[in-house]
Amino acid sequence: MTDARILLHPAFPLLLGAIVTAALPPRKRIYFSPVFTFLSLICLFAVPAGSLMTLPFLNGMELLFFQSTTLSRLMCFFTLVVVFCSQVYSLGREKGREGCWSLVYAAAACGVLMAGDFFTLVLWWEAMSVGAVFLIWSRRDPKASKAGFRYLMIHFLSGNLLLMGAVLYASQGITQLGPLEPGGAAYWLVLAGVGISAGMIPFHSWIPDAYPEATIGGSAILSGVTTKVAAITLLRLFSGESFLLGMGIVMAFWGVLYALRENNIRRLLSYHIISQLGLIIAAIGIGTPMAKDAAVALTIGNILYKGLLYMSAGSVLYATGRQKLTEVGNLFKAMPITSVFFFIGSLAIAGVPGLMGFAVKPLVVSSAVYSYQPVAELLLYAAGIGTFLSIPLKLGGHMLWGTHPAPPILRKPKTAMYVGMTLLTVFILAIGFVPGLLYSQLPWQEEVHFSLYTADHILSEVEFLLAAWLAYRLMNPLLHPKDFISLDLDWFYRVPLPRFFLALSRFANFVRLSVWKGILVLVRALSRFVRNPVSYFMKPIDGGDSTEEYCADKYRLPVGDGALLILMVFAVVYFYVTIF
Amino acid sequence: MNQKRKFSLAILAVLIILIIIEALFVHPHAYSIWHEIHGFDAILGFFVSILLILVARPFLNLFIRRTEDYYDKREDKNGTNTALIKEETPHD
Repeated sequence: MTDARILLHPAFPLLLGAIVTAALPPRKRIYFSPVFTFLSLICLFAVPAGSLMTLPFLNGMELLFFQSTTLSRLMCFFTLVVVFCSQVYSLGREKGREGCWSLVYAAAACGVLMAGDFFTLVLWWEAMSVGAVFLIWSRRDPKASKAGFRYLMIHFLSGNLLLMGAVLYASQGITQLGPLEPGGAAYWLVLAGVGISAGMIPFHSWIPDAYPEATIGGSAILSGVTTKVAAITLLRLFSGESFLLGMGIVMAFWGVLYALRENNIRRLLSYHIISQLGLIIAAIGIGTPMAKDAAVALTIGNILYKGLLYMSAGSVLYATGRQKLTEVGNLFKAMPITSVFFFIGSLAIAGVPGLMGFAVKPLVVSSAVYSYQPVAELLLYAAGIGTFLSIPLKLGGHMLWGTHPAPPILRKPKTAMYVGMTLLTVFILAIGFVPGLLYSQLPWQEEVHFSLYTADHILSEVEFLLAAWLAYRLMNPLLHPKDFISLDLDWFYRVPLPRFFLALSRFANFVRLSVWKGILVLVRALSRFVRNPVSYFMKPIDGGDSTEEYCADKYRLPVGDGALLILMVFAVVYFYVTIF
Repeated sequence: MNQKRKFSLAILAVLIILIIIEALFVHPHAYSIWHEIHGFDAILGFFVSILLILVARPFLNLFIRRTEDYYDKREDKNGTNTALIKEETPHD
């Protein structure tokens, strides 16, 4: 069941763009990429609701290749927005491959969001992994190569777990994506697969590992896509799963604690992504319509303001060549425009009223409240403080002000960077001041009413922030940037596991060499036998080398032996004939 | 009193004023038990911040703090360090 409307699939213009840009010379690609992203955005508005393309599958089941729902269109919209802004941000400084692979990546993300069944999901999921890996690799640097490779392994694992779950579900007759019945191997396989991509502990290390290693435009795109698409997939399949509530709370604190320790700016932001994902996943775990809307809203908020934060951090990196907090400071004077963007992004993420964060973050906490989970509410609220401490205060404080003298500006940020950042800021401010713009588009909004701009909400939020600020000023010496790293769970596959594999391969080599030596000994013995078997019974007449080839002249018996033999044979035959 | 102290005290002053305003004029939603206390958010914010910072830095330092070349050293020993260039190439 297909018709021309399938051409409206947002992935279609993007893939077309990828092919077109791949044919262009590297420097020109990025100028065309935003055009195709914009085209995809326009097409999105024309997409009607419902199932638009199905493919036949086994046993009468169908694959829902293009399933357009409120949620999927909403998420595709914001994904495309951040991709567009990042591509604009990258104009003029690009080195070639970003333009093409960002389109592939975006196409795959839309494919996942629009997928209606497991197998379509897995297909686009793998495509997303490929796109992301090449996006990371578009920065030609050994560290980026290694990080990209680790990303690849983790995400192919995630895709495989998903595929296993999908096959198991198909054997039970389930192919459609929708809220899943808890329990069973397939359930947990799919949860693990999606969860790895969504940054669940203990498989979250790829986020702080890979995101800082991409190009500055690439990081902005990566930060807003993989994890968010995975979170939305979790929402579609596992809302209400109580495991997610617990995991989300753990993630929220984990991310914030590491962020408070981190020295590398973009790594700090990456750990913070884990924290925000924790809040989103916790909301998914709560599962009420309000919580689900809160999860969606927070995801969208993160796509926008995290993108802005990565972009401004990227501008700092571009301009100064430095990405560690121990090497920057006082940038508010040196790079005022970028600082303003950073400031807006950081206040937004912290939930300052007037910016988007306030419109979305408290929703998660409120949803915990309205489902009578006071412990969860308290913990989520506390994790939110960590956000304020780590980004506006720690990161912003040490980067834009602080005791370190301003680093020299090596290059001025390009205008395109400012344009990209401005575009995102427009969304953040718009939704911040008129949250209804977002709320009216949320999938469950008929059942839920949000009213955040009330006096007591604003007051309590402001008090909360001021008190945290006071505590920060008190504890400031403890948070001074220091150049060290913090071990995370990826230690297990970066230290003992490689050593184990090395030992295994050394052992295998040892076995191989031993066998080879044994074969050589055998062959040498055999070859002597084959060459000259007589040498085992006699020595050569003239005392030569017994390993030489057999030569009849050297191994002659005395003549009498031959005569005796003839006589004996004659005697036997004579007696035989005369007797019989 | 130096600049920093003054600024901190200014924040504290604003905070107290806000709490007073809240106590006098604003009718709280009171959807959970503790919201009955005025300025609860402030108290919570203050103490949780301190706790978070204490855990993040001094406490975790005992377990997971390592030097920057920790992984590079180990990869050199293993022979798996493919990052032959130790310094990063100019970032872009």
